Amino acid sequence: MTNGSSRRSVPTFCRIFAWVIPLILVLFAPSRADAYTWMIRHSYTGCGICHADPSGGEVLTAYGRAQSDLLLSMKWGKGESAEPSSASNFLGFVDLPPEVMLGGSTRLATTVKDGELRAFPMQMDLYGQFRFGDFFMGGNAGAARVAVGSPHARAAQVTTGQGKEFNMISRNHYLGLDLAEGSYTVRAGRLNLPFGIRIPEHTARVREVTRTDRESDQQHGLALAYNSETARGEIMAIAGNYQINPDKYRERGYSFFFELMALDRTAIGLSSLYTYAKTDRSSLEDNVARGAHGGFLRTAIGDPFALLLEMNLLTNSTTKLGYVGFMQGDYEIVQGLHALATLELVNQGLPKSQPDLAPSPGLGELQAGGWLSAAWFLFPHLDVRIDAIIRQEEPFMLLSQLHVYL
Amino acid sequence: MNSELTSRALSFPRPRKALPFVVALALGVSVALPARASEPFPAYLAEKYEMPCVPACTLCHLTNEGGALSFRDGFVADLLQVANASGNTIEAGNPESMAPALALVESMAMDKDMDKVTDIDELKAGTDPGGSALLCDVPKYGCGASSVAPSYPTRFGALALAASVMLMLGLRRRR
Repeated sequence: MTNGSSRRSVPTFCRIFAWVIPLILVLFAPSRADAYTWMIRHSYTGCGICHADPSGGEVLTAYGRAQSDLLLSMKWGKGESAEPSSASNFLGFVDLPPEVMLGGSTRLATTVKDGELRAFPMQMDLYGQFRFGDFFMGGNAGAARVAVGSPHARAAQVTTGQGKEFNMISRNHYLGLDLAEGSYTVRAGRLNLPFGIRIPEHTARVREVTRTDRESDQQHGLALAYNSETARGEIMAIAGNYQINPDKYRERGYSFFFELMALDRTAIGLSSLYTYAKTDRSSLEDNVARGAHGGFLRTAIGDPFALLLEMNLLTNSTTKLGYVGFMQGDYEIVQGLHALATLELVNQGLPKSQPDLAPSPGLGELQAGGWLSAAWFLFPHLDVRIDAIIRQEEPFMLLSQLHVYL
Repeated sequence: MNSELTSRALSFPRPRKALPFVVALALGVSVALPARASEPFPAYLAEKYEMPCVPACTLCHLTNEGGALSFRDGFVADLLQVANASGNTIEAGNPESMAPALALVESMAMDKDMDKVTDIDELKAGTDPGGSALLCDVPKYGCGASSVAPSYPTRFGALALAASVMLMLGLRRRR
């Protein structure tokens, strides 16, 4: 194929996007890529009040920045304050107008696994959202470098390096409109899939197996979100991930969650996802219809303890039935310092194409795993986290992260 | 909102006094010894046999995520069979440890799918030794990646540089 024909075949929006979005984001841009679902302990059941995404994650609103300072960060001996410090502003000192939300995240990580120590940049992202009345636009641009075959970052690539080089990525980019004074939000673009509990642990089995993490599992499509004091939910028509080629690898279908406030600080929800792809990008099997359907619970038990629970049934046209779930307890020792314990369960189901394959943990039989974690929100723009992760039939891993956000 | 939690802060050192401790902790957490990156198995095979592409992990595994428990009944079955028979251990994260077993598969002219083309010759041709799949028919990532040249790190580097300069200019203007 000639260069000329190659250029013509690149979708125009992709070419424009590759240049325009990074410039916009860098000019006006980057917020933390986190969603702390255990904020329910503070009676925050919804997400849109603190995050630009109505279902949580990424860019913080001005109110979210203030609450990050007041409720999330360590107080270091300072007494209770009703006013956030100016340090919670963008870059620590820029007081942005409410129409402009900017942020950025750099996450440096180390892993110790099989006695091997690795250090790598886990995240280098800029974020932004800009509002014009009820209309808004936003997105993210960043960089990533992963090995060939890695399940991470690849699906969010904008640039086309297929090897172990740096690539520009964009996890989210969208246009949106608020309706009925913000009770409903319509968005179109590359969006986080509305499914289950939006936890920051992107390698948790429940997010990996259902392909609903916020690392690179977003898809292009159209979503409608609803938020009120007693209920919230979002449904998305998935048009496919247009950063994966060719078209046969794109999944199309739907994803939704709906959550009701059962008590003051307890929420229960349902979620469901169903997609079809001509060829599955992971197993490379043809005509794959996969789904995940289940329920979840978030509750605060007393002031310092929050419990998250999610369980899903997995359906896949190429495997037998499976399941995946997790339970996580978060204990706030003092403001800013959290101890977490997580239990994971997964069985992805034996592949139908290999009926003679002996069941093994995670494939045909239960694989259990556990995390013991500590998260320390040192200052408004800095936190550290350590996770000790042990899973059946897998080597023990110690993961540490230093997270700086703008 | 529950405001009781905001007053539960204990008496910790003031930030200035704590700074050296925090910096030391941050460095300890984030700065590690140079990474000893393990080249992945697919890249090793691609280089060793001059394959037309780096194959997907599904050459040997049930999914692209890989894992020691998700082997296919394909080429890897031949490989593990001769490795076990000859007492060679294939170590996770160490593709070089495959070399003795690969040499045996080649010298024995093993042919997993019995199509009269040996496993190693199939790898060289970019076809699946354990079936009829085309190993290079894998997803491409990035906008328009099915038709654009594989990578352009230089262009990306220039974009990143331009973005940084514009960020600096933007901040100066704000001041």
